[in-house]
Amino acid sequence: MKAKRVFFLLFLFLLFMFGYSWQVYRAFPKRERLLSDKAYQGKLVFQKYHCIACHQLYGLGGFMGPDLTNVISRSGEAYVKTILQYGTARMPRLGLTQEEIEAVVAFLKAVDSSGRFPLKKDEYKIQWYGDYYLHY
Amino acid sequence: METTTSTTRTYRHFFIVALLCLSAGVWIGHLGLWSYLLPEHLKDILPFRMLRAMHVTLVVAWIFAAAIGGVYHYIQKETQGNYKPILLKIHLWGYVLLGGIILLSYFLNRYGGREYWAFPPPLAIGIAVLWLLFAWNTFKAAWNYKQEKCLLEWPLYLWMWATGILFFLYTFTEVYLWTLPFFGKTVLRDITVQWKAYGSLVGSWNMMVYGTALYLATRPEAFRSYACSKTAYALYLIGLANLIMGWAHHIYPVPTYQWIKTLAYFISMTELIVLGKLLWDWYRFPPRFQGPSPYRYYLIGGDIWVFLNLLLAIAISIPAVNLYAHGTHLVVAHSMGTTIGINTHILLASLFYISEPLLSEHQRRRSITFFYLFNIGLIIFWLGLIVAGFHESPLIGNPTTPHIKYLPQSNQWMWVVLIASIPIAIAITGITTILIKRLLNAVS
Ligand code: HEC
Ligand code: HEM
Repeated sequence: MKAKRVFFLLFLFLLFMFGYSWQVYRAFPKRERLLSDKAYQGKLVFQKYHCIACHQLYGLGGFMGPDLTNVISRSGEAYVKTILQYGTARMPRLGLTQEEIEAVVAFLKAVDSSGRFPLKKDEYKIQWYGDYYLHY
Repeated sequence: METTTSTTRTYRHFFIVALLCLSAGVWIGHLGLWSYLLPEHLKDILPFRMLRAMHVTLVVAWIFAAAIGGVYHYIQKETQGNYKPILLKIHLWGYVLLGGIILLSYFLNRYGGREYWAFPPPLAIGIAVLWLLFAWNTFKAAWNYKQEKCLLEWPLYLWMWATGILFFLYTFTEVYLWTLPFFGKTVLRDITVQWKAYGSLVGSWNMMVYGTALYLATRPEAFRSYACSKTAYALYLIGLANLIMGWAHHIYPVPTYQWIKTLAYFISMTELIVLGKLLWDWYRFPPRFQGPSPYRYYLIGGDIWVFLNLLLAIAISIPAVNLYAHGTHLVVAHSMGTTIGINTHILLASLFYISEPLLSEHQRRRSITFFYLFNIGLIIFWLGLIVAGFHESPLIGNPTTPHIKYLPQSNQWMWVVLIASIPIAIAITGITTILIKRLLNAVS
């Protein structure tokens, strides 16, 4: 009797959990970007050099360097390519090939057009109950 | 009898490995901080990318190894269930070998993974296989155990360990969903699922660590029945809801569906109930540091850090506040505050609980002195990160600020953090030395 009840509860629980997870997995919000093959290669390059140890996307990552979500629209492709090629006084030169640099830039462009971070005042709206909605 | 001695030896080895990871982890964190603050001079001598990957891997390996050793030990003690010694040994040596390969891959600058799991992805298969072995060993030992008058027949700590073990398998699989194009070839879906996995994975190790805390707290005869009480189970359900749905408080600025985030906001606010319960317990049984028993100090220390971290976590889970805190060192205060303040305190309490009978009077007193040193360092470290976050936030929020103005190199509060990390690292080295000496003696 008891075992049955436990299994029934467990079944309901798993049903709920996978239902919820599936809803999250399939989410395709209006600003979603499917990556081109080149941008996808760029994402793998971003992982290969572990850029996220020092940088963030949407504020998530390590904090030694700046957030890169909108670096393309902020500073332009040429600037990003130069930094990747030579490093700076503070960022090490990581030795990416030309092809890898092109790919990372394609990836960062896709990220750039997917949203904004940090948010400007007119890009969100705070609700009375403490939530905020994005507004761009 | 012989099997018991052999398994005892193996989980003591788990503790020794765990302590070595912790000590190495804090010193590497300390070195990393130098390079973080003086990159112009140190970026090539102390490469931060490598040090950060090693730091995070080592401290997470500490949490897992100490939790795993404890779960093995306590399950055997409570249920009298037995393990196959050889399977435990395979788990231990597999853990050491895999950890060694991961560190070596960082040393050789071979990444390919993502934040926290930065090693080349094929190594993850090894982690999953070892975890299955862990699940097999523990479930086999505890399966037939029943406790009378206990809700659902197992004391809650067994349910918590079981939850942690199963959820790790699920969330760790989720961490690697990016290898499928359906996830990997997107931007927002991928970030969302990545943080769903990370948030819940931390929740799963917390289940193991909090289960350990519950086990320790209910050892005195007077408190035993608490592990079977309705209140304890209700708190567990709150923890479980947060584990499954709370993660989205990490991604409020990501432009994905609003309902995912609003749901996480409301779920996160259920932590207020935990906060209330903690305060109520303190009102009824005020925590007191007393007696020459280090394990009680570390357990109470963990409680106090639960309180402090809950305040911060609840605050930054309110989206309007998160707007201000996200992407600053306030978040690092949260992550290191919880892993050091809560997890490390509880796990050290567990290790002291097990080794206390072996410690001399002098070693106990020294362990308590280190407790104070550790906590003085930690409170300054934590407050330093918080103040550093407050300092950065308005600069980051203003799009005309050049980034150099808000990077940690220009943030004088980060130097407070660096200085405070020294007593922490010294205290941890001291604790490690005492515990490893005793454990080694007991093993031989
Ligand atoms: C060891 C840490 C570290 C790693 C690894 C790293 N960076 Fe950087 N990066 C920095 C720092 C620090 C700065 C700020 C440089 C400065 O102002 O001199 C920076 C600056 C940048 C900038 C300019 C940002 C701006 O807003 O002006 C870009 C673009 C960039 N990095 C891209 C990358 C990419 C792509 C990778 C991976 C291939 C990477 N970085 C890896 C530390 C790092
Ligand atoms: C002397 C003590 C320590 C120092 C100096 C230190 C330093 C650091 C630094 C510099 C980072 C990188 C932050 C960033 O990327 O911006 C970091 C991250 C981290 N540390 Fe530590 N650390 C210490 C101890 C610990 C301990 C004991 C633990 C856990 C038991 C821990 C857990 C973590 C975690 C989980 C992260 C990732 C944080 C995140 O991504 O938000 N640290 N630490």
